[in-house]
Amino acid sequence: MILISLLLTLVLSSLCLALVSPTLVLKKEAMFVDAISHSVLPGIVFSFILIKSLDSFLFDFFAVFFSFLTALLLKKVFNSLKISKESIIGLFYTFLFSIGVLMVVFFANDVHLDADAVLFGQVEYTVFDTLNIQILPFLNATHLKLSLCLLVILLWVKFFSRKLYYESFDFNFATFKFKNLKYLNYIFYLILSFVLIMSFKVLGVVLVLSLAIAPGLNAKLFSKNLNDMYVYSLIYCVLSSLIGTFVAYSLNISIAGTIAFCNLIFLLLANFLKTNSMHKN
Amino acid sequence: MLIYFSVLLFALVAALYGNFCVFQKQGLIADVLGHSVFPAVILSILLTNSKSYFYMMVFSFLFSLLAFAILNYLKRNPLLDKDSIMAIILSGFFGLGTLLISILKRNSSNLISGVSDIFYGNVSAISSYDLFFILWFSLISLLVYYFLRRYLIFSSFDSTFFKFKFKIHKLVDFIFYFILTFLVTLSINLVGIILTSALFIIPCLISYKFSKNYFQLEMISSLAACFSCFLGVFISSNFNSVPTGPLIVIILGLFFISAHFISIKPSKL
Repeated sequence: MILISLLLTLVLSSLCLALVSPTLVLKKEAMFVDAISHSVLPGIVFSFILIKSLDSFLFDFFAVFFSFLTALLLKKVFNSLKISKESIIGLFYTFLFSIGVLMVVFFANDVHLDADAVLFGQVEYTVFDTLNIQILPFLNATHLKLSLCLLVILLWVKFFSRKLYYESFDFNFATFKFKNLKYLNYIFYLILSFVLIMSFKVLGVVLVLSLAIAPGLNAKLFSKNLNDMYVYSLIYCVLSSLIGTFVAYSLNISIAGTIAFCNLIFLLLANFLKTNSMHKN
Repeated sequence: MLIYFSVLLFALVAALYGNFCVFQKQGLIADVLGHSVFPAVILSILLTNSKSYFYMMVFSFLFSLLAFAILNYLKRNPLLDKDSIMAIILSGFFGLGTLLISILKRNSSNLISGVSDIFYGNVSAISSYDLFFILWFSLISLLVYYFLRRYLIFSSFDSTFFKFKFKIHKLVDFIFYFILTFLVTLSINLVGIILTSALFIIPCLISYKFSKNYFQLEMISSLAACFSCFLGVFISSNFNSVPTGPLIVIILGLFFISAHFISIKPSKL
């Protein structure tokens, strides 16, 4: 029963992230996600200090709001500082993350929002707050939140995501053709921060990064068009979370870590297969 | 006294090598190397069943080299962009560390107590033996820097000319990344594995706002790094519960913000 509940949580959250990942990979914003996911920590701690609880709806709302603000701030810094992108990311996220760590040390050290939990995630603890439904005893509150999140992202993929791809292939044409491209990007960052915050509590900073990039990247190796990329990345994320969970559960080790490590191994395998087939042709 | 001396020397060397990181647009390489140190430290504790600093260093060095090799192997595929590869590698290695730490928690829970120091750094946890280690290797890296400086300046400002002029360009690159890996490994007790890249990037960004030639850039960046490391170590050794790494990074960041508003030079990097 615990295994089913865990699997459902992991598959739901990785589906959410896999729907965002083709956009991220094509826009080449992988380290941007890394920067947001680290620098959102002061926002999370601040909203925790405001709300005083980790489970309420208001906490999620404030956390999403702050992470959206962080993304906008990072974009603003990109445009105004004229330093190379890597250096800005290295400057921005280390500064904000260390502010967050000090805030945790000074204001919120006694509760279960310690800095280690932010890094590792707590998949194993989500199974306990069940909803007590007779027919589906394994369902818990995290599942409901994640399915709501999945619905929102599906709507976004259906209605808004297409125009962003023009930007990643031909920036000038995209700015010429769509006047509201700026707002589409803002919507994307809003959706991105929504997904990140929703999956943070379950997966932790580092696994979120891994699951947000790996499906799209693996799919990009083998797909020929955009629809293929979506389908492959969805299949990949379900497979990797299933394999990771079973390996981790049978060996009794950390699930989040195992999935992130598996993603690295799978990428190496996929790259090996792809380069071999390229040489044959 | 020894602690200040070795930390300051280390900060100076890190800033000097970090300048070249920024100019070669490799700013986040320290981040990847730093994350890959985490599983190595846990593995050394698991295998040797003790917290020996020497084995930690050896394992971390090997793991960073492995991460660097994987990065260079995957970069050859034109379908994969550098950012995504780096994201996957750093999260994969960090995941391996998380996996190993759960094994460590199950088997020998008495060894786990000091492990969280490696995330954010803790100066009071460094013993005098480790300090000598840091001191000697910083000195060696400084000596290597003296011989390497000329080639590195060529390679970061005009890499085609550098490859054309000097036949030893591969050797220079190899030594540079070798020493960079070692410096990242040494920094885990000071700033922690997550914030390592700040120590390499931010001093260069600060000094770029003021300097007119490369010598000035080196001087100002090493001064900024030394001063902020001194302040960070001073504050965190007087207040026990505050981790060192975040303090140093916040001081560096405040320096950068004030430098950004003070300087009038239009910056382009």
